[in-house]
Amino acid sequence: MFRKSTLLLLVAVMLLAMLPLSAVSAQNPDCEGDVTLTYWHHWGGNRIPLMEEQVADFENHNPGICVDNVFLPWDNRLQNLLAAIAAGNPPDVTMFGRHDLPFFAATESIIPLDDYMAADGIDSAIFHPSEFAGTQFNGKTWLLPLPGGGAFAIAWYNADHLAEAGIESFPETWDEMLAVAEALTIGDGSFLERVGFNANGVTGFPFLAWLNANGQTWISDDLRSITINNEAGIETLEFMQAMTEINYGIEELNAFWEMSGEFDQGPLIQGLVSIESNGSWTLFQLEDHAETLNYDVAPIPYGPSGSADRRGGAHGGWGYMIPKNAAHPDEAWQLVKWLTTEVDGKGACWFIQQQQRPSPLVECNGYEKDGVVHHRAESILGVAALDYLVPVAPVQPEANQILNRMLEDVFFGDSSIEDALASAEAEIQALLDSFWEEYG
Amino acid sequence: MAQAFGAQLSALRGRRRTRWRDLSPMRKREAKFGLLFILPWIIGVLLFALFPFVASFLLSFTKYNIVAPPKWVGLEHYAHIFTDDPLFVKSLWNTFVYVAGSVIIRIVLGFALALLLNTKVRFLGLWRTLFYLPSVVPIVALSVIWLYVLNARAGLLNSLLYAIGLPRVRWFADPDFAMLAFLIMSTTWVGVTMVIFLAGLQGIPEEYYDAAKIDGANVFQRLLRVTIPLMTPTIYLNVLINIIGAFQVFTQIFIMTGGAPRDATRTYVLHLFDHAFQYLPPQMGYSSALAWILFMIIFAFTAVIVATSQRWVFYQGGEAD
Repeated sequence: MFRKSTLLLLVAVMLLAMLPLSAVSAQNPDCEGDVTLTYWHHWGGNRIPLMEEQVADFENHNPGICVDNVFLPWDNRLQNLLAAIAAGNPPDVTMFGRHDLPFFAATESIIPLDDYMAADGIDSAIFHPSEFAGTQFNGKTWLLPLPGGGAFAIAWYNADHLAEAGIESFPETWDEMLAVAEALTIGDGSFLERVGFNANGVTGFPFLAWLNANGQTWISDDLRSITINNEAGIETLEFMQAMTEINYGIEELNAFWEMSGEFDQGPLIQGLVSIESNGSWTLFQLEDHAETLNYDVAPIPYGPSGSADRRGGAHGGWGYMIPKNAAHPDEAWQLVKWLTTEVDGKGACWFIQQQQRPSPLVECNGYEKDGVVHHRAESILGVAALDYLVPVAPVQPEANQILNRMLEDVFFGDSSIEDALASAEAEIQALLDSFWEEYG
Repeated sequence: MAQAFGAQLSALRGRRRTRWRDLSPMRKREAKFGLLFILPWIIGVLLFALFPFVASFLLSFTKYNIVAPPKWVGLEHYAHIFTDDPLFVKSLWNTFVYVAGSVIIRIVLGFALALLLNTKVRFLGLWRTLFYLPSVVPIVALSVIWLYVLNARAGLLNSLLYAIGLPRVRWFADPDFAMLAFLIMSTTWVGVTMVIFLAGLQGIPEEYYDAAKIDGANVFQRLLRVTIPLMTPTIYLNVLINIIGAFQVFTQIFIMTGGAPRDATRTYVLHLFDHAFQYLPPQMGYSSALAWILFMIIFAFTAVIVATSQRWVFYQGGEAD
């Protein structure tokens, strides 16, 4: 009697204890297969049904392989992945930031894909070169890219605002941009009503994006040394500071920005800004939430040390990879291939076209949806043609904090531009040296 | 509550220990079931408290990036924290400011509310519920609400300031006001402190007040000479709980400012979290060292309060314990 009831109680306790471990996932109940892949991604919002459709089509084309399609929030992505790898239970395939690659590749926590690519005849030439470059570390390919345009920094602007201010063409240089932003900004000198342009709001890593547009790459190709404390760096910070002053200083600008949000609450859609620098995803946000907005796109302006043929931001973009210790690496490769290289069916090409985003695949025009090419495609692809890939550092997250602190030191008047650059450069270089000492 | 806890402890001390072999079969069976029922708690404490506690101490002497085995580095992290981590000092100072401000706010406001809600007013239950309710709202939802309340452009608080002729404040954009914004937000949890104070107030016998009235004491004299001295065990408990909680402030700051502006809201646990989960490579060893320093600081504060409590905490029917 006692033993039986004890056993039941223990089972009940164990079941209760396991409840919180359940993940939020979608699995096709009709799929029958010997292998079930665990697949993690961060395609939220209106992309969830698209991803479900894409995974279902993969299952149809790959009998015997089922996919547990798990949507995870972006914010905790590293925590979740590191915890899963540490526990020896990683997903088979996961979406992955290219800016996170160096650490995972250096510790061989993910699988190089070169042998799989060679075996299946996947040539790197099927991708745009700048997209594929972001997948490399120590001469190996660690992930395949999707979506494209990770380094894009596109200037989206309200054409009506520019016309009202008598501005006939979009500024090409920083000096022109400062003049245009001043003309578009509305306020009484201390209280902003509308921001012409916010240089700190550029997608990715703002300072690095502007430095890139000023003709300077911040880190060496071998990712071992950084260079920001020079003429190009000073010009970049001077430009950002001047733009902040046009917006009545950093405090008022940040306070103003509290009014905006994402998607339909975006500042461009709300009419709070006239020009916004953002990624290619802005297109589907505008399509979904701003039918009447008269907008256009242009490349972000270039600095005095830069040139008209080099723009772009600095972000790194995304891709798909297979963690070490994945339960089914061979089948996982089939899914990676489907998600990143497949131009037929509901593969990579279809998924990106549904969102009207740039595709890393040469063969696929991401702006062609249901046979119709988007009317802004040509101008967006024109910006893409000027895109210049900026490598990311192995210590990028901490480097970003240091760069943000550098900007605040200058904007709040606590440091000179030269001192702020020198200090940030030294701090980041010390981090890099420490990284390579350990992982080199 | 504090007095009841003390009484239970004394009763336990005086009880004779019973050996297992002396128990009857029925008592043994009951004991086994009892153990079985608390087993999940014991497992939980071992797995999720004691094991991480010991593990983090050992990890604090290692370099550990999660994906590779830890490497022993001795006291390197502790030396770095004290000599070469400017954010350690900054975040610790911010945390001290938050602890001091929020504990004072919660104790004073909680006590005042408890006094008010210990009187015979209409809809007493409703008032008590209303003041306690914010404490049970998930912190993420609270953070979103407070972002609206403290919005520099269209926030409720700035509208009130404007209505009385004061200038608007850029709560989360101005380094001088950002931490104050979180102190204002800390009033959200005053309901918890209030409930504990209420329980303490209701434990004060009415005869003491009657005696004081006969002696001619007015309301303020009764408060100063009867209520506050007899509430010191409850104040003591509330101070301890709030200090320990305030030192670990994290979630609302992580959600609302991430430590900005100018690191004015970067608190100690946020700094620790960044090293563990935001940076690459993850610095679990360094974070563990930070965690142990925080533990020692909280321990020291607690020890000082416990040690000095003999001077200012008074229990009914006895001397300071």
